[in-house]
Amino acid sequence: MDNTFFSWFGTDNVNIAIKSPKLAHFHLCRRTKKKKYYEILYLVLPPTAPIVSYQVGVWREYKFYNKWLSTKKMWSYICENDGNNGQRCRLSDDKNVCIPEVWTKERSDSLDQPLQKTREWCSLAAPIRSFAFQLATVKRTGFGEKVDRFISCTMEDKRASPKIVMSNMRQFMTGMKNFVVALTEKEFKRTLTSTEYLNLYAILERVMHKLVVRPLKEHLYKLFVEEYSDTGAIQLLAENIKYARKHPEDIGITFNILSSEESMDEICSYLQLMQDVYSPLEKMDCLRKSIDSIVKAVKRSVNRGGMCGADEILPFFIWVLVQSGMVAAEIQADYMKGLLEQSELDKGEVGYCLTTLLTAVEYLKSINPSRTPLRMETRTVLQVEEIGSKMKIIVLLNDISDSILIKTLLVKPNMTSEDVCKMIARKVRVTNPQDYALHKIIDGEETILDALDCPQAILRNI
Amino acid sequence: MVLRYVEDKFNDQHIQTLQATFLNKKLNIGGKRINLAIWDTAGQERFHALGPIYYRMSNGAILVYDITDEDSFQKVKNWVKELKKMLGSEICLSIAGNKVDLDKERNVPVEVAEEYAKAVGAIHFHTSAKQNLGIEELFLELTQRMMERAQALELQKANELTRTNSMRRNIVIVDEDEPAPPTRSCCGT
Repeated sequence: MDNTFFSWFGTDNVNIAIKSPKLAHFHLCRRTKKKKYYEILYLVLPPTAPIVSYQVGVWREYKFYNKWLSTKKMWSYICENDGNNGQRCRLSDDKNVCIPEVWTKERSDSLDQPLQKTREWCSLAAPIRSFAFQLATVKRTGFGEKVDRFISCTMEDKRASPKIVMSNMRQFMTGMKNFVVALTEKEFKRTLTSTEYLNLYAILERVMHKLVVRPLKEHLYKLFVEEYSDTGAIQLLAENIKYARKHPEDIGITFNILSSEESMDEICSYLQLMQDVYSPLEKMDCLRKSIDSIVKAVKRSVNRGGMCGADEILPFFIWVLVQSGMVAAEIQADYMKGLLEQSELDKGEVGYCLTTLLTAVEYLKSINPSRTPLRMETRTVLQVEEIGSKMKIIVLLNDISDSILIKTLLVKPNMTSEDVCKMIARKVRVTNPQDYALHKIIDGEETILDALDCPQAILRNI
Repeated sequence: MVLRYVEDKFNDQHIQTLQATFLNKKLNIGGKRINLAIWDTAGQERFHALGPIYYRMSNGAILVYDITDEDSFQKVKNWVKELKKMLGSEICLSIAGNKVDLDKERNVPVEVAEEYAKAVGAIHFHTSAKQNLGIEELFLELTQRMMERAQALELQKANELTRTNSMRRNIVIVDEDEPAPPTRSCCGT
């Protein structure tokens, strides 16, 4: 019926086991390999199974660089067998919590009963989550329809800017969370304790990721790739990564990285996982883990009383990006930035991780394979010549005597010196335009132009 | 260097340290709960241009130099200039002359540093990460200043707009800058 919501896909193994001492003979373990999609929808207990509570454990095994890692085994209860046609227990696909749900006939008719019933057996998150998922599938509430419509509308626009799409998604998810809460406020207030109630939004957020972000992930990636290919950002990053691989000295690694080859695999595997998962929260989690591993690796390598700061971590992080050839780094960063809630981004650690990633990307984009990276001391001397409404601009990069760029740019009469600076900065790829300014040099006397001065007007007056 | 000390020190007070470069400290000043987010930024020159990504949302900055290293003091001056330019008067600045335990090897005169700090509206502190001197004061004073500034801004805003938004700004971000790698090498031990 609604398989997509509950399908569990990935390139890993999924294990399920039922734990019950009385049921030693009834042990179900499913292990699948080399299939793109896994769908584990029901556990069917035979009618002969005793009427007791069972526990179901679900865990995943990932393969990273020939190493098998496993998620924590989660055990949750499922309800007793009703002795009828066999109890069908539905499992959700969340990797952390297994949500068994009672699949009964009343369920589709009455929302309250299964909610309460499930709650008796399940952990905190499960009832809210299953309830929200159920809302999504029951058309009557309008919730599922809204989600479907939003997704199809978003998919229709093939040329939209990813930033706008993400902000729409963010807005929609926040709105839908409020909708679900408003719709069921009474219900939740009655059945949940205050702590549970506080977690409500966080749980619904994850539900929204699954309902909204997952179906749109591929679409969003496509938009990103299109946009960044158009702007050349992807090519630039790819080119510079290739260059940086041969010139590690340009990244500023101050210690021997070779000694940390082992941790490299681990860090890369986190970054790989970051690209695979769809939920921005999980992506952030992977990013955090990768930075944590870097901190550990740096501590081992530096061997200086266990101390390490941003001066060591940032270069190493950049080096990891270079080594893993993560061309999509910028997309990943923007994806998280666009889809995470503001309250999440305001959390210091999340913000810091994202900033580190963004900085690494910006740095990689700023290094220039044909020249040495532009440093702060680089002073750009501009010589401006008037050719009608165009200006010929000669850019001299002070510390590299052999590189002179001549650009002819269109400078409209009403453009301010600030506008011109921004334009030049874009053309010559400086990442710190604020450190540059236009100067006017008359008879050797140098005066800095005010941000609001118009270069064309000044030229006319000379 | 200071950070390391802060980390160890704050650890004693049950502060979660998830990363070496990022710290959260919960404080209680004047009955207000404050969550201090301390970010370490890379001080190397090659990353200088990327500074704004780190500090654009911050309320305060601590610039650390090594009193035995004149060069590191010059770099602090660069940072001050840049921060002022980018964030204007909204940012609270503190300058810390670190390694006062090595006063014999001092290369940056006290008067020069203090005068400079005064001229740019920053508060100067003498610290020693090694001996835990002046660090608590440094952070506390800066936090208080950031709060005052935030409250003043709020008040100003409230006066400008008739409808007041009573959201209290209790998240304060401090940017911690370590100006130069050589600054830290001899203090780590």
